[in-house]
Amino acid sequence: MKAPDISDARLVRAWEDPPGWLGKLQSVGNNWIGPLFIASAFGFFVISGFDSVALRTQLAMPENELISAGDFNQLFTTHGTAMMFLVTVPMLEALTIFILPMVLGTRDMCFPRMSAFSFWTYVFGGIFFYASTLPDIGNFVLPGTPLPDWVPDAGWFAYPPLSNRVYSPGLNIDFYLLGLGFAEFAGIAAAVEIIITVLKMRAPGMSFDRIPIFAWGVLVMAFSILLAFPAVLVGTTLLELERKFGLPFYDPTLGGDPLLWQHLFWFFGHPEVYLMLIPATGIVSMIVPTFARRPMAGYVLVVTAIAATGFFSFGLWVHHMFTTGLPLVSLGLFGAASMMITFPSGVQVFAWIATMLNARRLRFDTPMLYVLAFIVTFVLGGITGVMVASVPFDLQVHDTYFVTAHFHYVLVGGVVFPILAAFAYWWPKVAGRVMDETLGRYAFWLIFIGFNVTFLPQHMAGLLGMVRRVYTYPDELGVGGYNLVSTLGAYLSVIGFALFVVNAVLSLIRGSKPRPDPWGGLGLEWKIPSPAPPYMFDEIPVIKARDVPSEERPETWRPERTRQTAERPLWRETLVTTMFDARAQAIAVVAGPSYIPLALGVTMTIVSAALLFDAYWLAVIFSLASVPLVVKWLWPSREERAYPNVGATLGGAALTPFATGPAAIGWWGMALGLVALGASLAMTVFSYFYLVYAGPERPELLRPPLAVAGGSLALATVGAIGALRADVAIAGGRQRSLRSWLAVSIVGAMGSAATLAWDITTLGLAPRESAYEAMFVTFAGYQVILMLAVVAAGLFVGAQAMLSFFTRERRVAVQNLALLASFGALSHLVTFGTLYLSPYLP
Amino acid sequence: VRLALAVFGGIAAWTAHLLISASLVGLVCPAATTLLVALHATTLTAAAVSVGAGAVALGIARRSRGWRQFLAYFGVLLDLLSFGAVLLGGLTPLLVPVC
Repeated sequence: MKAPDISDARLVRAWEDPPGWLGKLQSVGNNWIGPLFIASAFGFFVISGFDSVALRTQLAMPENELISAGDFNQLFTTHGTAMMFLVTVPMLEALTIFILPMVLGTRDMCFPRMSAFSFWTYVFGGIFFYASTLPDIGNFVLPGTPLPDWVPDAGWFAYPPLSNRVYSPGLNIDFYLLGLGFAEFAGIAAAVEIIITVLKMRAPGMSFDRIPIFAWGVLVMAFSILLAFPAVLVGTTLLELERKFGLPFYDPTLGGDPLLWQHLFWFFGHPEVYLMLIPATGIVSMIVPTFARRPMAGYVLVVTAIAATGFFSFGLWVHHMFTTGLPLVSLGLFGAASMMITFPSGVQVFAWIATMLNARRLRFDTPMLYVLAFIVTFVLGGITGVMVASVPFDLQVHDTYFVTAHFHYVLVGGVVFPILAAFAYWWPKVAGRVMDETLGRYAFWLIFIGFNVTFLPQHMAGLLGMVRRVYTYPDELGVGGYNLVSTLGAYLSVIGFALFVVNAVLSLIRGSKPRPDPWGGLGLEWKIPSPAPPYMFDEIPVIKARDVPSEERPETWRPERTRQTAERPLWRETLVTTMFDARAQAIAVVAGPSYIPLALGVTMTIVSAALLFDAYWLAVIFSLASVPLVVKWLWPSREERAYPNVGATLGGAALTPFATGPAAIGWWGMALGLVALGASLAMTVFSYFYLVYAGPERPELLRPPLAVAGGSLALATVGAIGALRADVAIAGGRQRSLRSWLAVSIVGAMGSAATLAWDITTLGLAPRESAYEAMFVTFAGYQVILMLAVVAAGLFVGAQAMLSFFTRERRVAVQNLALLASFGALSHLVTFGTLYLSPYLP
Repeated sequence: VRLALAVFGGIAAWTAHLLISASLVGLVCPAATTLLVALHATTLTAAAVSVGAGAVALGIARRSRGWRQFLAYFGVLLDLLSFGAVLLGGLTPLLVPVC
């Protein structure tokens, strides 16, 4: 029997936002949040760009006094911090949120509210960071006003001891640390949903060997974020605890070690460079085949190169620490890893060249010009990268302008050019119009020439001995000419970027309207209208090959049509597929508009501001205020509970809207969140052992009694068993048994948290007097908080169980509790082994 | 599981090689000969694991098709790169004083 058809108007209604600007504040769809995210990142790029122009203006002449040394410190700190945390990574994540569903043949990201939450958190974090400049602006407007100086000024890396309370007594570094917390949180949230969208929401038939290379790039980027960001989260938390409460993690006079910060920071900081580069290379691998009219050469090689770059990037962090006095063998090991990463990068470059050489007719439209510029500058930046990977050479040029030039070649050439290429290439998907080609070319040449004029001379200035982060230099150094040329290049770049923006704005007003596929692209994004409709695909494509030529229409399928839901309200439905071979597995219902992401962003900002000014009571109030918001977000609405368990079919497979376990995207959300928590745990363990065994002096270890902490571990295990048994009970349809086991889980977790907290307070530790004891308290305190999170999750699930919300089919929340409680017990085992058992080892 | 080991065996071996070698330098350093032996043993073990994983991946690649074959070839290449990285890192103790 043929299923009743559903009109397109109803599909549009299911996916459209509420009317007006208030509706836009609630919007969570990728085609609104994505462009908004990109525009915000571009806004921060402009602010940060002005910082760099001010820096270059100051350095144009030797012994220039236009900007004071203190202001110069602030400018390079805000420039570096904003470019790394507020511009490039968010820009790439934003681009991903917008483009990924189109490229994968799905209708939205897996958790649209998470996208919106990530966006609002990011925007408020950026505003919070730049709020530090308000007193400076006040001083500028009203000269002579005694306003404090809050702008961060210890570099984007904020090394202690410069960033500790002694040398940075103001709020400057607190703005940096708390603002960074926002960016990291937003980054991890976005990474989780990017991974799930790539692994579980691809169009049916898009098996692992058919995934577009851009999606591979963002997948590796997201995994890198998930594993790297926790390192800096741990590092910044420890530094903020040191600054606010005097816990001396980085104070060598009390057993701390400033090098611990460098390890934590660069364990994040080096992969950060590659996690920006990897999706950028993915963009290039989408654009080159389009303009060469050929499929990408060496697909397996390129995908392997992307993954290998991601893996190796985690073994390079020490190459930022070659001058810190580490043993020679260690330097050699990390130097070798630094050189090894050139192989996968080289493979990609040769694959792009091979694709272009194999072109039917290579077209040089603006996106392709940026791609070519990327290849040239990336290779140059890569070569200087190999030079600084050599330890003896690095010892000579460390902290000179040679390194500044190197990383700008990698980051501007390797990341900004592909982003500009992506803008020009995918602009029709946002605006529904193509940018003007002539203006685009002018902008390109100004940016490209300006960039090289800016940074090429800096190699020479660096080799001649000009060090970084100094506000001026003596005339006798002989680098005045290089600096003047460099500054002129910066002005040229600014004109180029301004022209790029003018072109984008003009195209909105009078740009030519393209066909759905203006470039003849091979990807699925060109099979839908431009601009992309809110539901992306009215019918989900079924994939038969890696590339879909522009003249081909893929076979399609629409879940609503086979579900006979004509008489019911339509939901935002899309498809979940199996991880490797992308067989249709379940129907996913993604969330619709909500104010909650915005409201949570606001409460987080107020909490951070309260922490900044030591108003802890306010922080507690607004933290509590966010609890009902989180509950409201996660609590199943009446409509969701009424959602019918009526399946659909695709290719003979029966699909349910209530998947469980790994078939459910919610389960993956929890699992990946735990991966990030696991990475934080690993970094905490590393920090503990680093302070104990590699710190300036080995502390006298406590041998704490094992009974109480062991009891706490046992109770955590009971909590985990309770949650696991609760899942078994509801899988068998036993409601009473579910409630009983949930009660066991909650009581176990609560008991574990209470006993461990009691143990910490009765051990007589003095965390302000010893880095080791500070680490003990922090580590154990982290475990207490984790067990309290298990209690909170247990109460949340328990409340739903009391209302009989769960059935055999609808039990992902119970499964997620089981995952969290199991992680809590495992983490407790690690905590117990590290803090309590390891001191007894010989 | 076999495919996962074949794909990630090499990269796991390289990771272990890097972390164990760097830790050994700090822990064993006054005893230079012991350290040298331990470093070479680590290198040889990691290299062997990379080669083994690559061989398994190649076997799977020849027997399978579609996404499984793709992943297996992906594993072969990744194991090969890991093998190179282990050898390159393993050369260090031959070139510089270990303590």
